[in-house]
Amino acid sequence: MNFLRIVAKEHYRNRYMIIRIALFRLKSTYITNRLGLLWVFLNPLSQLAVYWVVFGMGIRGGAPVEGVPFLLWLSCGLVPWLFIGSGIVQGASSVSSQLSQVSKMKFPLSVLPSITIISQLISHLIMLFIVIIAVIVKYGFFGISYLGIFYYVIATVSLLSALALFTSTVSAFVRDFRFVIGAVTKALFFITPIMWTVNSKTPELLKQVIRYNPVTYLVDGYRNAMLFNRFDLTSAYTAGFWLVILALFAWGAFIHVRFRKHFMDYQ
Amino acid sequence: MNGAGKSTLSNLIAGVTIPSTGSVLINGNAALIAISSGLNNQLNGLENIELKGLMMGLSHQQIKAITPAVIEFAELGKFIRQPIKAYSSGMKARLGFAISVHIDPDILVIDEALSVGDQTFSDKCLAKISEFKERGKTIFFISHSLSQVKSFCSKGLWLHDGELKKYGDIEEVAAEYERFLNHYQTLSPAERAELRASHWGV
Repeated sequence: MNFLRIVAKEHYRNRYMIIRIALFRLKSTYITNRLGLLWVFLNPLSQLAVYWVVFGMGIRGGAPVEGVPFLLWLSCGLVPWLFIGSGIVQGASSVSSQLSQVSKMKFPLSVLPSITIISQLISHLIMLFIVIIAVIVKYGFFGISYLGIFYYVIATVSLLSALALFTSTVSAFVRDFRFVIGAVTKALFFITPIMWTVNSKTPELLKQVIRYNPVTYLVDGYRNAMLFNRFDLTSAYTAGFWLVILALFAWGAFIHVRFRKHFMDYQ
Repeated sequence: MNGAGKSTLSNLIAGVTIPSTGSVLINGNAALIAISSGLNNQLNGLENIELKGLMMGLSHQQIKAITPAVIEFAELGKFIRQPIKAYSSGMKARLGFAISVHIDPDILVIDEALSVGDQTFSDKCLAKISEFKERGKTIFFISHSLSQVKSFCSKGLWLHDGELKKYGDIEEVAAEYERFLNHYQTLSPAERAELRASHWGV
């Protein structure tokens, strides 16, 4: 259990550094663009437009979902997904992409995945804020279920950080691993009900896959809290989700601490 | 000579890498002067001072305290507010060195760090390092340049092919290393290859 203590301690001691470096990273990513930070919105907006036209207008013929206009319903699922999807992909390369910057110094390497996730979180929060404004304009203020949004942000960050600790260690040694991650993430986007809903025609097997996919827990949770004023943590699903995170974190921390002294040799 | 293990040893002392066998005992905190690592090309000089300071483990207050001294030492003038991708390599080296040296560790490891920048700046760096020496800090000065080593160090350690050849007073070690170099230069390519092979035990 020593590895858990090492990772926890490095995070606690460097909590200020993690946030500052995450901000610097975000800044250095967008500063070279002519439109700067505006791309934080433009990028998702273009995706939203495509899915809205193809799935909303094309396939659904503009029908609302549970009484909610498709565009708004889609936004509430797509914004969490964009954070999750990019978090998985960027999290996996968080060590290999930042290693050259921290070479030649005594750096707490376990915080590298977290820096990447936190810098993604900042752009996520900006988008989330905009979608919440849109929901408030349409439905008014919900109150207590906004606490749910806060909870799901924390749950998402936990899942992504725990996962990144493991995937970043593997891809530091096996570069091909990022292609696997890319393919799995693409598949995950389609087997999570982000653009479509589970209905009576959905095959039983697919229903099970969707049910046990932790991303469904997050996307559904965000949506319920934002659109339907529902926030309920008393299901076994919640306990299962956190058990998965705990196991993932323990495994990631173990692999990371065990192999990180070889990171610099594989740079 | 190249491949002797200078950089490996300096990385071990500074705690950058962990030995595969054995252990390193360090009394105090050690830091390696690595000029270019920890700098981000898109950010300006001031932001890089904070970034590199954070990466080297300084707190917000410590960074605030050293920033004016770093700016003054680096002598970059108005360029300090420009993204460092606009800097020349010498200017980047000044900034990197200025930050590293103001971190103020107990043990300083300098691995060929003075081979960049112009003469006036490397003189300034040497003066700064001498100041460290006067304050009783330990400095590992790693270099191929015999003249720099002789003018700066009090003790010498000669590494050859990963093995300790000689350790002791700088004058003695330098004299013996010089004798070896002179001897090596008189050898024919075949004899040099033979000498190298005998060292690697091939």
